[in-house]
Amino acid sequence: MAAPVNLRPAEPPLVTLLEEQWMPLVRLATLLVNDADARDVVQDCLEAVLRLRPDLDDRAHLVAYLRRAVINRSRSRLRRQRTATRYLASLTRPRDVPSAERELLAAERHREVLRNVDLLPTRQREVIVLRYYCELSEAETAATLGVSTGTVKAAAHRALNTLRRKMKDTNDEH
Amino acid sequence: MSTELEKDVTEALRFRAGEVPETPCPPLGAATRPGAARRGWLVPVAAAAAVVGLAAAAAVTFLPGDAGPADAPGITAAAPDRPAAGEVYYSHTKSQVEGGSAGEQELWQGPGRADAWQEKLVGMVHISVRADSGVNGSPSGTTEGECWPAPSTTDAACTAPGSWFNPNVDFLASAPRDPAVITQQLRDEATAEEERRTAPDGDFTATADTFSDENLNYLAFNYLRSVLSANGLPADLEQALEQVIATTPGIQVAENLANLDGERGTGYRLPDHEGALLTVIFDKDHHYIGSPEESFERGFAPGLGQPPSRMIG
Repeated sequence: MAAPVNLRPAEPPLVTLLEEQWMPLVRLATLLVNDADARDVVQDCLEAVLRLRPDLDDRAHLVAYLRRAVINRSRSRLRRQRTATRYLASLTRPRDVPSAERELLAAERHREVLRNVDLLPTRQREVIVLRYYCELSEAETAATLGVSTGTVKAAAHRALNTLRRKMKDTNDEH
Repeated sequence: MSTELEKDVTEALRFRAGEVPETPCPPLGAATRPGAARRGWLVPVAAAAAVVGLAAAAAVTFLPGDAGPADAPGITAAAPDRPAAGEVYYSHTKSQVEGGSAGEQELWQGPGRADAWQEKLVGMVHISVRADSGVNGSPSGTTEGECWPAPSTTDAACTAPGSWFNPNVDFLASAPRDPAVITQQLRDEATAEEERRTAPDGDFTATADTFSDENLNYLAFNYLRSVLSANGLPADLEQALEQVIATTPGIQVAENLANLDGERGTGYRLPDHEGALLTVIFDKDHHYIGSPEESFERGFAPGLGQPPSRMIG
């Protein structure tokens, strides 16, 4: 009787796994640094992972690792551009919106939310992106950022309060 | 349950993400993208130059009517490079900034690692990099703290161990004086710095240049400028550092080079990959005096914020 043979599907090469994550990470980076630098940030991360080959035992851990790397590099990038970004954002005025066009109204609402998200402190912005775009739980967000769940809760609470206040202020002006 | 605002935030973020055009992943592992090939060189040096150059600058400004060390009473018993009882370290840097105007930094620092310090800036900003708040520029004015350059003794800038890239008075007092040993330690620190910065959570991706001898030498040379302007640098270590610099591969020696104030000495210049020169100048007594864009002098003062009572060199 032949001995049982364990057949396991071959692991795809690391470079393939990294290429699969390219666009999801570019989108994530765009939400964090919101400019053309997003692609540079992600490429730097992927290159570094390919070079250093961290000991990651499965795809889920690789994705979490990449996400954390993108956040860290985005944070570095943001430090250098934050002052200019805030200044430019402060000069951006809400556009006039045709009141009858619901789609445009929604788009304008999105832009208004995004303008205010861009002005949040880095940590709060990261929490908002991870919680509401990546749909991570508080625990997953905390693990990704390397902070406690309490810190995530507090940051999200403060961020939403700020957004609520700013959105209200804007609405009151109109 | 999500609130309306949370729904708005989710939709807005998806809206922005959806606007990101699909682009293919660039080739990984083989070539770097155009224009990025030398970033391993540019980024660390540029960042270090900004941080070290401004944060650790220091140069001249004498008291009105200063008549030099001979007029300072009661200090003759002190070692020329060590503070006497009651004295604090004093350094003064004058730097040429864009537009031709000069900025000045005066720094008073108690003799102990954790002692109080005071910094006075005129016409320049102090660039500091902090883990959470990023790069900050403080406007001109006077600031105080404990355990330079930390605001307090519990700050990471105080508790971090001293090194050639983080020179504090304790480290400088006990650092090796053998130029060969210093050279090797600088190389090790430069390599570790680049490894840290090219890790996934670092600032840039390593290239063929990142760990080249030229880049590591340049990085070490750049950080040495910070060591040379650090308070508490003993005279014998200062001389050893000049030897380290003089024997750095690729160094260019320029005799009779003037600093910003016109004081002359031996200049040591190391070009970056584009040929731009990073320069340090030592006077005839082997004291660091700055560069063509900067003048530096160190000495001692009777207290924080007080005019210096004696200068070294």
